[in-house]
Amino acid sequence: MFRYIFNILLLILPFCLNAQDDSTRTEGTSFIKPDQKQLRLGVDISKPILNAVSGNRHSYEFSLDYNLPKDIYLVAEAGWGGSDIDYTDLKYTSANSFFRIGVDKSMLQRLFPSDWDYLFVGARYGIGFIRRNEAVYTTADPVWGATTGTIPAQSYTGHWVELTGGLRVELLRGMFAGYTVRAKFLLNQSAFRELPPAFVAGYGKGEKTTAFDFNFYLQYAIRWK
Amino acid sequence: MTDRLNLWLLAGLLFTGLISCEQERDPCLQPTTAYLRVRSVKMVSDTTHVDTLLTNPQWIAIDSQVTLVFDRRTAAFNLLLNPSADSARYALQPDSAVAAYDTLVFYYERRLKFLSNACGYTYFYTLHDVKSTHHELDSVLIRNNDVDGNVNTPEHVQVYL
Repeated sequence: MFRYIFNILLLILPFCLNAQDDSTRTEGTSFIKPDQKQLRLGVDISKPILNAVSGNRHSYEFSLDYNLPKDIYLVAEAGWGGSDIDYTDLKYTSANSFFRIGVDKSMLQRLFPSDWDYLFVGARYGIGFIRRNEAVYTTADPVWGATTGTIPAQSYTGHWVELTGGLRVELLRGMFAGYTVRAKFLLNQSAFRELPPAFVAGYGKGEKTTAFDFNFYLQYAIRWK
Repeated sequence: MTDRLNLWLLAGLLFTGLISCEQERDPCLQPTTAYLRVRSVKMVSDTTHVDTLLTNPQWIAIDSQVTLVFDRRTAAFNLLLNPSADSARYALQPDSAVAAYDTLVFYYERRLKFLSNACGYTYFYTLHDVKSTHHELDSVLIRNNDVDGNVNTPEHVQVYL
């Protein structure tokens, strides 16, 4: 729960603070257009950290975005991952790839044409192609002992939508860092009735209809006139 | 703009470390065992019955040789059905001080049920029949077929003594 609350606060607070500043400073100024077009490639560096900490799941995520007029960014994201569940009563592996597409809208006005820092809100549609391999379960009780069986492998296709927020800061020329927080809503819960994977890369816990996630990106921008 | 955003960038980096501490498996917060609930009763008229409190009764799972000892006077018993077979045999000793037994055989259909990744799988059952000897028992009645862990339903079996 703390994680969710912190996510939401992190999403909202920057907008509150900056909204106050900008309302006074930019009053009466006209919209400043960027002087270049920009295509940006990024990698989520938080996922390798989580992979190292977590023993039973892994994921890798990449992003691509392109700036459109009015400080809107067309965003495509992709990745892959899986889980290796090895509990005493349940064992299986799963793997999946995923794709997301959507837009981010900057909430800050540019200070000058080459100012590419921004706070944003956005939306995504996501699709994941998931394969859970054969699972082995064990039930145990004090009277009859342990019973073991197998659940056949199964493939799933998951569809979800996301609300996003975050920021990007240009640390060096063309080099960005920033994060995205996400609230995700699974659209086809019924497809995940029988032993959904504990972890779906790009989404989160496969048996939850709502998931929250966080990415920390390093990005490189290619610009041209 | 960059100076202010840099602070938030740092916050995001710290947050990455924070979520690294997330636990891997959620705790299981629901019952994982579906008990067969049995009640001992006796008739007091043609249409009404009352609980029969048994003194230190014992239920013996015949095929696993596990004895369930109830060390107080009670009329309610939670038994476990065998998830590896379609029947379970129990010997009921209504009073541990008296060497008198009845055998009950419960016949049922098993249903494997996925609870969650946190809780794993369990078995639910549909009770079809109960057969018994009649040394101490008068009769056995199935009141509720679904052995599914729902405790807000009537007990599954009444044994009349």
